[in-house]
Amino acid sequence: MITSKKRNKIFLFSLIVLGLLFAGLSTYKKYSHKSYATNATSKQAQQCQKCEIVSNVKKIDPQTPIYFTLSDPTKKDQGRGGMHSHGGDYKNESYKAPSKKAWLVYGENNLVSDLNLKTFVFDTTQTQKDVKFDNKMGINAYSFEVPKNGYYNLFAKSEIINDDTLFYRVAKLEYLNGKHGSKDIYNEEIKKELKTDKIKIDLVRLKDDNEDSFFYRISMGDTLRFKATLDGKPLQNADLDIDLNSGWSKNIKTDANGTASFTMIRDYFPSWDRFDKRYKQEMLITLTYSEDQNGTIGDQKYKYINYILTYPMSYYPNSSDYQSYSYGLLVGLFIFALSGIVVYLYRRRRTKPFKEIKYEE
Amino acid sequence: MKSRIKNFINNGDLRRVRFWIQLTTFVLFVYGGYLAINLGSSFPVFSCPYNDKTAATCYLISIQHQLAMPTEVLFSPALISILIGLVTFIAWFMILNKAWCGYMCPFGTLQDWITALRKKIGIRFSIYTQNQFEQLSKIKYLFLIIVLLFPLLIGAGALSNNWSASFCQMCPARVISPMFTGDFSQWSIDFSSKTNMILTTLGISFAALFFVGAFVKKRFFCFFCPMSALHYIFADTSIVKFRKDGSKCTRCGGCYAVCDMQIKDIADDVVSTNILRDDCILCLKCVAACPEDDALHFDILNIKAFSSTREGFEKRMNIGFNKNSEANK
Repeated sequence: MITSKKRNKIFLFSLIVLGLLFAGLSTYKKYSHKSYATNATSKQAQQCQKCEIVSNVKKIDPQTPIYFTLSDPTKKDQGRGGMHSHGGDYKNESYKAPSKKAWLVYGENNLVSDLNLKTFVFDTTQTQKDVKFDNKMGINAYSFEVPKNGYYNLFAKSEIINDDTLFYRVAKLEYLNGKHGSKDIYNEEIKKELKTDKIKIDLVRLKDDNEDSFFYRISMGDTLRFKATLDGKPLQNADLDIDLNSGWSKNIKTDANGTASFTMIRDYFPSWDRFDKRYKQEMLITLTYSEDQNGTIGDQKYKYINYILTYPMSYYPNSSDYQSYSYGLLVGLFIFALSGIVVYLYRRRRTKPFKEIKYEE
Repeated sequence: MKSRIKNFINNGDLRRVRFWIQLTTFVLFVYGGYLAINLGSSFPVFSCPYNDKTAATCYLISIQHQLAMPTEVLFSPALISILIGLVTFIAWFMILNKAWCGYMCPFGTLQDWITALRKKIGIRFSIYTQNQFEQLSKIKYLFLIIVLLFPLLIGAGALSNNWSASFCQMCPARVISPMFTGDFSQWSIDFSSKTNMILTTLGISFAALFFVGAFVKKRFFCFFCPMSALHYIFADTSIVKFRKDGSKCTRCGGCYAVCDMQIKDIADDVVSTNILRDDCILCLKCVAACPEDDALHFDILNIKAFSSTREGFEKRMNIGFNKNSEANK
């Protein structure tokens, strides 16, 4: 029995032990608060010296797709295959909350550093908001505020005319913000398709009924459905290229309704002791379409339009790869039966049978 | 007027009042999400967020997530968010003290209903010996250490992320609570790592033990509940106090006999005025069962909100020594 005096002593003692343990661990990790900021800056400066910076988007081949990534491309060790949940670099994200950083890249994580791109973001209520552009140490990053849980759609648009052809490139990123402790409620309204006239071509991921949480993750084995639109109308016969970071790729075409679907393959086969259920892999979906159309931008004329839209996504191992209901049920029933029998036998053993006592007079 | 209200409360049928409060709060905390009720993530009861229809989130899961931040982040302004969570928890807790366990906790209510079922069937309940009680009572502090220490070790890099929310992985409320909204998905074992496999197997085992234990022992799980231990750390901050006037106590043992938690001090300790103990759930059954005027009283802001009275005792026990009974003879 613990009285209040004893409790206060235990509490104080525990705090001291915790404090000592924590200080010990921090010292062990050679951590000190003062030097942390200095270290962080110098690390970034060192990384920047090594990083490959492309001076202008116009120098990139106009047909090369540009796409957003949520992992800092200058950190070579993480790249597109970072393992943090919900697509963020947890350490960077924590300092700048509530905002999300994204980097615009092409090819194998090469940074795009051009200011002539038009960027905009739609928040959870599908209202257009500003995108902040940040250039630190030559590294371009885009950030947008994520005050609420829900879907954010980030766009970057580039229009370049080259040899009578308008290359209309769109980089799109749909980011699902999910933070614990929020009062936001996930409902069907949140899932509705974003319709905007800010871009001519669009690709929308159609959410199914299973998607019912701010913490929803796309898993291997899931069937993904997309809808392509051009000027707000369904886009038929457009090419959809799916490229998984692990190397698998597939090409499909949109149907009369502008929709296309495919099932995610399973491409994660580590041994049990190396299995990580939070293992995040990335993929890129590229929508391409060409049409003959005359037009002008400024004093430049074009006869054809080549549309390229990118849509990056991340995916995780499927829970059915590591969760077992049958074993769970088996363990539950076994413990239930065993404890029930033990209690019954224990009680029965302690029950003394009635004995008639006869006294001889 | 004042004395009439006081008499009305002191002579009331506590059992009935408690039943309705528990039923209401059970519905609120288990199904409140359907009504878009969200009371935040620092709630001092087992309103488990694994049930996504809950109206509030148990503070134990929040604190485990918050303390698991990387060490360098923990020492940054992010610490403010942890302190806000703690202050919110204390603010909620201050209102009711440990009565959160006795009246508000859906998991406690569930145990009371299982007890009622056993009673209806006519099976006798079990009790611990004093020695067993003393030993088992310490387990909740072990769980509290797991709740507070393990996340810090994760943040410091000494433990892997597989230990994330380790108590929740073991907690029977995680397995059982979602069942009330038709979600049985927590009855599964996570084989993604050895750590997760062991923790989730323990969780399912504890859930199975919960049903058997709660059937034969009143408030079986509350002896092991780390939330109860956390409550007791902040018990002095509450506006609610549970006091005893030892000079009025005859040590009849009636209070001990009705105590679901087998707290012996409630009958034996005639020295302490603060009679709240770490296992107490402030159900106030002892106050209702005490025949001595003001020997036990439940105070809010130092005002006696519910006191033991002979008249109330006689009414509740229906032993017919009060005025009405005399008149009826």
